[in-house]
Amino acid sequence: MSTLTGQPMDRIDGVLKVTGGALYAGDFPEARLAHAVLVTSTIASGTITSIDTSRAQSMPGVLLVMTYQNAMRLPNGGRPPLKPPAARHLTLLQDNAVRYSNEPVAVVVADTLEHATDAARHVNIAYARTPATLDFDSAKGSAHAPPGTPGRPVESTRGNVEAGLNEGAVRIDAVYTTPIQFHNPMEPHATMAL
Amino acid sequence: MSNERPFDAPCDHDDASQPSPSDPASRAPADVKRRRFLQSAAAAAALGAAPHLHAQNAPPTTAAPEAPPPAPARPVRLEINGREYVLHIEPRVTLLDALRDYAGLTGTKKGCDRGQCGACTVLVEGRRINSCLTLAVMHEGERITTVEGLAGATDLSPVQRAFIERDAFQCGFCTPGQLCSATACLSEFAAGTASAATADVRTRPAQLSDAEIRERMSGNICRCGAYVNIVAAVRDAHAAGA
Amino acid sequence: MDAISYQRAADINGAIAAAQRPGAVFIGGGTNLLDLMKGGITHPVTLIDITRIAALDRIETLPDGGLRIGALVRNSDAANHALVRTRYPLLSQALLAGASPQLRNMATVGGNLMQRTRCQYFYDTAFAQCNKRSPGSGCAAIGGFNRMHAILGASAQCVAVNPSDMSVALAALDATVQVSGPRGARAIAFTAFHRLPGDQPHFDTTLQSGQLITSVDLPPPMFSDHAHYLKVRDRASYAFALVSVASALQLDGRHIRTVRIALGGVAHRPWRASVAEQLLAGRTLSAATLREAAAAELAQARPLNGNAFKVGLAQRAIVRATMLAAGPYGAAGSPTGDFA
Repeated sequence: MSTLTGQPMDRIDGVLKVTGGALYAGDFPEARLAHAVLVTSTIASGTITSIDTSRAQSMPGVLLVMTYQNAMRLPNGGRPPLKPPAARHLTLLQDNAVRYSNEPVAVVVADTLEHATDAARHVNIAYARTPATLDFDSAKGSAHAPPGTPGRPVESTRGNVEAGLNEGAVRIDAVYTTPIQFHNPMEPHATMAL
Repeated sequence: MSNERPFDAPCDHDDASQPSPSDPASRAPADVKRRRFLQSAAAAAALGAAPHLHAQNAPPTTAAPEAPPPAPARPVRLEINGREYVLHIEPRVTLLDALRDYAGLTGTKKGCDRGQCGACTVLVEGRRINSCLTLAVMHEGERITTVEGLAGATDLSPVQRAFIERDAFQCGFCTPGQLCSATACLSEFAAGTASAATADVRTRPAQLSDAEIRERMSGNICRCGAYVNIVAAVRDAHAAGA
Repeated sequence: MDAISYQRAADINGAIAAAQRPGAVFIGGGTNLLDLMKGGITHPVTLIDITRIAALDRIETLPDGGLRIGALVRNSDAANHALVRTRYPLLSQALLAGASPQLRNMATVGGNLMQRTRCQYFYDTAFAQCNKRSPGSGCAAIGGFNRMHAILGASAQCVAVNPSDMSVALAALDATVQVSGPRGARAIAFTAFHRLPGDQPHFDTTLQSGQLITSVDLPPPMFSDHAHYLKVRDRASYAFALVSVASALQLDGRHIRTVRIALGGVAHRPWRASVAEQLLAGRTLSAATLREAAAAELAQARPLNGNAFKVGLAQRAIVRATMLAAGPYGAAGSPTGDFA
């Protein structure tokens, strides 16, 4: 029998976390670190019609401004072998499409975070906007049954709802809405490329 | 191939290979001093998701008028955790970025960078502030305490111990800000401050109730939801006389 | 953020002189200014750090029995100062209802007066239509998501609200803003400090460029026993008001000798409920009387597509805040507690 189960245990990373010693993705120290900052779209749907990076590239400390125009070409346009939801379509600067508000459209790399941040504000992008599907109620009209999977029906029924509702002493018919929810951990996404 | 980069990464002023004026890397003014690095010389790039910035597809609406060139990086003396740091930074560097990127003290975290989450909370002259919404240069001559400075020479602080004892964290990312905030929360209460949870602001609140703790810690969010345990930890530390 | 120049002002005259240069702005706590700069909404060229000007960091009594709060006093220090708590508890309550402990420690009283709206269209430069940022470009909030926006005093150019809690209390208390500028000193009645949008929504206040707020002056205390700041918001703490009410009374029994009511979260500036005040002065306090006065005040409300709920909410909040103010101080609970 374990002598540990059922006993109050201090987290083994407890001391590190309460002293600021725990290293998260954005904490790893490296000398001569450059910083990359994302430029994100100001439209929710459409295409990029032009990108002018000349001002950003000339700003102090800037090492690289990467857009779909100069980013490395990935096999299959960066698309995963499986379709969503089995695999995610990631934004990999492979085309000029804008699929959502704040989609990354450029990356600015510079010697300091403030230089990268400043230069990112000076990437000039023009868009051709297309209507975005943002409103559930208006999109509901074109709702359709998804293609089924083998062995699992797309629609199913069980019991007799109307009969059950008529038997009830009280009948409540209401529409409840809740916005979509995202899990946003406190730690921002960060990565380091060596 | 892996050793050829289109541009040389910027040099520390101690680095022997200074970029030449025609080198694309030397776009900065003649002063090529860079921030001090604490570790080895491997070149690396860090990709940060915050801050996201919007591309400008229209001219800035409140465009800055033509003006004298902005101030370059200059030495800024900060006293952090009892030690003096001289950081070579531009005026626009926030205290948070100065601590993390220039002083190498990564204990303080960047959560939102806009003063809304409290992860960046540090103490300046013992008062809790959001380091993301202040400039490092504004705090010359002031004593700054970060999570790295809460513990004594041999022991964790009572608040740190209480957080461990009460399991007041999971991922731990909000924890440094919670600890600095909780430390100041207790000293503020000891000084007799009121809060929005205090029934009569005209008098000193009689006790640090859980409702008072929750209100006084409301500037620090925790996505893991350790709030119940954080309140318990603060309560314990207060009861122990912290 | 843009690259900037930075200088420290040693005294008031030095600060004012430095502010005459184009693109120069004062920085105190910086909690709103740096947020706006990070968002690319404002682009100062030079920051004049006024935080070391000792003369502006004091709270002192005035010869007439009033109180002078220096513009650099931090929100938390003002809220917790013994004289503010005991003589102007309404102001203390309002200050404590705002922001977070960290922000209250940083923000100055002067800066709080100057803070800009948090309208999400103003704050997001991806929205081209914002008459406050870009005069003449339109207003995306009208017809958009305007749950947090104005129901009173708005215009076809702008429906933003002033987000300050402190200012609502100062409006109710008839404070005065002291400013200093290149042409000398000036006193501005608080209710004339913030503007309605009209057709110039890019001006939030009547302060002229280059002027420095030196203090907020309070008249002799009148409402130490009967005052309540009620803030109705989506969360229990650290959120802007949907509607807030600062209510203060001088009572003889149930007879209302003097009443002050100001609303937050409903207009481009703190809204003195002068219609309600006139109906209540000299009356006997009762819930029915308050409901009648509140309804009269809100009769001029013009709700938007997303904030009609604020009209009824404001009325009920006026009644509740004033009933709480009238009761034994604090007996019915704290602003975040339960109410009798």
